[in-house]
Amino acid sequence: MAILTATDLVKTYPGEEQPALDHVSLSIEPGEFVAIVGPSGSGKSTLLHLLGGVDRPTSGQVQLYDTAIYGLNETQLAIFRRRQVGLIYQFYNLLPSLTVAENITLPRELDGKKVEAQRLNQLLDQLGLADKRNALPGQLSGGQQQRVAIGRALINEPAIVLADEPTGNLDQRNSQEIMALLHYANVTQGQTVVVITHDPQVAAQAQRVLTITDGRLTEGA
Amino acid sequence: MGILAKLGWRHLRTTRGRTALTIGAMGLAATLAMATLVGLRSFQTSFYQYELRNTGGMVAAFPATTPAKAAKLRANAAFDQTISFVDAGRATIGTTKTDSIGDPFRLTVTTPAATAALKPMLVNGRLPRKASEVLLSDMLVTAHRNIGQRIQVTVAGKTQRFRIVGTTNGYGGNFLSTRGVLQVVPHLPAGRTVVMASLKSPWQGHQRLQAITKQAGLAPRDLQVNLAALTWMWGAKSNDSQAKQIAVVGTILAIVGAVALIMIYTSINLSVRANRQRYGLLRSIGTTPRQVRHLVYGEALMLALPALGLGAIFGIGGLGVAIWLMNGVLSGNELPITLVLTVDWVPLLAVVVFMALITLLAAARPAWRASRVTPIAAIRALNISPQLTRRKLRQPWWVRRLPDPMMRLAAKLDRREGRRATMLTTLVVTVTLFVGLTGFIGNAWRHYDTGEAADIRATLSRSGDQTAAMRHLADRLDGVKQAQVTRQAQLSIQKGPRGSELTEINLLVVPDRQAQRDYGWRPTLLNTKALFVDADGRRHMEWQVDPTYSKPLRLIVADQRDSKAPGLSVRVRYQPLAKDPVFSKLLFNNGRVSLVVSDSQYQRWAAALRVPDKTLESVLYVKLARPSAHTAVVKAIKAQFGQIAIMDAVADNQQQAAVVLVMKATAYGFIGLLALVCLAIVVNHTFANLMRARRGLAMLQSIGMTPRQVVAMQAWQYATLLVAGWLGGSILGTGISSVLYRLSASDQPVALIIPWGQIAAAGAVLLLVGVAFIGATWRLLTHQDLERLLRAE
Repeated sequence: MAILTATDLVKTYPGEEQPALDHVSLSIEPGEFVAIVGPSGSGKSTLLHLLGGVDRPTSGQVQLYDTAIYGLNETQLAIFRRRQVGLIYQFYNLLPSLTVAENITLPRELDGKKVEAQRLNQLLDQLGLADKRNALPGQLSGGQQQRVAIGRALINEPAIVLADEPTGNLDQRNSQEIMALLHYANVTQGQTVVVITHDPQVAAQAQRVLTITDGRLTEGA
Repeated sequence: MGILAKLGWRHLRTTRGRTALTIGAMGLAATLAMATLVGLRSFQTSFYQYELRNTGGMVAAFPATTPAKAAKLRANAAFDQTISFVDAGRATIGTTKTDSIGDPFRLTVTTPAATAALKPMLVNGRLPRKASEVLLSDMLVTAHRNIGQRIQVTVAGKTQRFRIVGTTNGYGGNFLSTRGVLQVVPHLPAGRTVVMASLKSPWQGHQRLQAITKQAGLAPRDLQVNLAALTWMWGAKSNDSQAKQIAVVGTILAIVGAVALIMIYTSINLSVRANRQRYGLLRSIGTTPRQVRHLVYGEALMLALPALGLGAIFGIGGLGVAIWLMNGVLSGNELPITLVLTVDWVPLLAVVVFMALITLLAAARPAWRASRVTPIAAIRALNISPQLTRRKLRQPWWVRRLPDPMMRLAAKLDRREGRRATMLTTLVVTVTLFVGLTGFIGNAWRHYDTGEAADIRATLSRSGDQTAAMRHLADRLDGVKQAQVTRQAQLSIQKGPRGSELTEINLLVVPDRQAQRDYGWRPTLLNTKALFVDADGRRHMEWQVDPTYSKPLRLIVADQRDSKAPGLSVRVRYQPLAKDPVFSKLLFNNGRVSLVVSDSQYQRWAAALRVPDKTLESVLYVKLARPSAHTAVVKAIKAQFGQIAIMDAVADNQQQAAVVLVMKATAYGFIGLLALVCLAIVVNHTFANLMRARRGLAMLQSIGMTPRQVVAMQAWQYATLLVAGWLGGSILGTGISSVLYRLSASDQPVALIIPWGQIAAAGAVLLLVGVAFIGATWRLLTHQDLERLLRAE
């Protein structure tokens, strides 16, 4: 059974005639590592945000397991994002006033749950940030900040991790480290991962590659 | 600490500049609230204490009762302090049993415990120290019955001799009559006892006192309460004065609340606008709208705490200094009131609750806005293109004619980007408020010392003709420019020119020699003008008695108007008071009409007019050569005539001027603070806009504009805003000041008064604000990291 199904998604931004997404449908199986590639302005990020419940489509539906996410109200959708989706952005989007550890545990604490110290330490070790747990984002390199963002995405063990150009702002070495972390989550924890990228090297590491052009989706690179 | 509180706390700590600005703005609102509430409380308690002085610090006097019931009353837990008086019975002083109006004398006895309460009632002398000393009612003072002299008092056939050590004006106002003598003894004798008490708390004092009276088995209708005092503490049963006080305080608090609400709302709203992306990010990782709202509320309350601290420091501190200065003015002019800074839990708790409520109310809309930020809008940091109409895109003629390209660019950007409507409106309202209200107060609460009338007027009633003694005294007084002695009575016109019927007239009887020299023996009517309002509502000054009226005036004694007294017809000469050689500087030019007659003329009229001899007064008018001589002159008059009634205009003027000064200082302080809070809203807005425009300004710098050019461009925008606000507010403020003055002035025609001083003050403050804006902009531009700003998403 597919973990995530998008059916006939259409997104037209106000004031624009051409839809950013034009009747897109896709299905992602549990444990899959999927890359979505396409040129700038093709609708990659729009698709990712619709899949993650960050934005609402003009028409169509996204289903995570049995839940039609756009049937949820704002509060339910927020809780859905918090528990079922891990989002990673190109520009990290960390809260500058919280430490590394606090940024990572934020979604869990918003849920009113405590994070076990062992779990946090383990995650920090995996991310290579054990010695930076009390640092503020401003004191970290780009690669380190992106690792914190990955930690925040994984802390709640979500159903799916959605990464929007996670290496777009990093050099090659840091890009490789980030991809290795995402692979590690995918392989060892069975985490489903969807990555948006225009980097062929990143896309080549995915099990399945979807191409989006002018808002239309096709299978394969 | 929960994650939301932690997030809020960290955010406030990491955005120190904005946090400090917001705390400062909220602190100003808190200062206004604190100063207003503590100030009102201080005035309340000060006037409560002032009114209590009239009853020796006691709030109530219970009806006379038995010693046992009195003891029970004194034990009541509601009382802070109690004292007792025993009525020892009717007294005969020497051979006299009643005063001049027939009230019997009494001997009242109390203990040394009451002496502190007697002190405020002491007119002259000191309090008794032993049982052989007494206080005498000042109504009973005569040449042979005064301080230092001995009197014989007989009560129930028993005669005692006492030494008078002081005079009193009647203990406790209406509480206890001392139309007699008051003795202080170590132990109270048995007898009907009056208990007086002060309350621990004046809250609902009147009702509680009535209940206590009822419980003690006494008649509540005979309870005497210092209602004037209780009214100040809102402890009287509902009465008009108390209702008015509550309405005034309610209005002031509503104004303060509205201004504080706008101030705090603006601060929080600006903060929320600046953090739109942060809220979006939180929403994208699963923060619910409710959690975002709580975050905003939490941050607002965190800011309110230090703001309250600032409010306490500046509000109470500033008020303390103001009260100290005002007390200096009051005591320097011998005004019998001392303002006391009262910082008790009532205003403090009220300010805390007030600020918390206002903060939560002010945060409600920004919190709702923050919770509505969509995750996608924040993630993409979408730059929303402004909706520009063709009119805004077009360059008006005045922009095209500006000589400097920077000015043209500034004007263009201002038209297209400026969010000036809110700021301009706030600024206009601020200046209007300041100029209008302070201008009105400056005009309406002016102390009119016309200097037209006598500096001192001494009146002796029911003492026979004392004019000769007065003239003799006047000849010996130092520092006197003019002195005039008359016998005086009040008449009214029974028949005369149209509109003059019932007009009251001062009958001034002058010596024959003066009547011959200054008035040619002719009865002379010293005419004055008064304000009249015609059918169209126009005000104009008119003679009180038409001077063209050629027939005789029919006069009658004023208090016999309703009787069938015959009256007297007199043909008079009309003379404007202002041109009179004798009385022009002694009587008010817009006061009562006077009729001057000679002594022998009056003797002839007296029989026809039937003026009761006892109603004739002997009056001494004095115009001083130098005002400072007033104390010595008053002392000399009192020394000779004892119980003479004296009007000391110099002292009254000084006291009135001091009261006006204190009232003005209070009102100016309040309005100034109010205007300052409104101005802070504009400052806050302007700085917030500047912070938001940083990237845009960095872009201008990156394409080659120097910081000086950018500052010049910004300065243009500030200048147009401040000048427009100043001009608009000054015009509206002048109008409001004039309208309020027209509505309030009733005794003279009014003209448009332009409050130039207030307009200049507002201009000076705005100039300072403009300079501060320019300085801050210069500092910002010369210290900002262009590369970081330009790279920022």
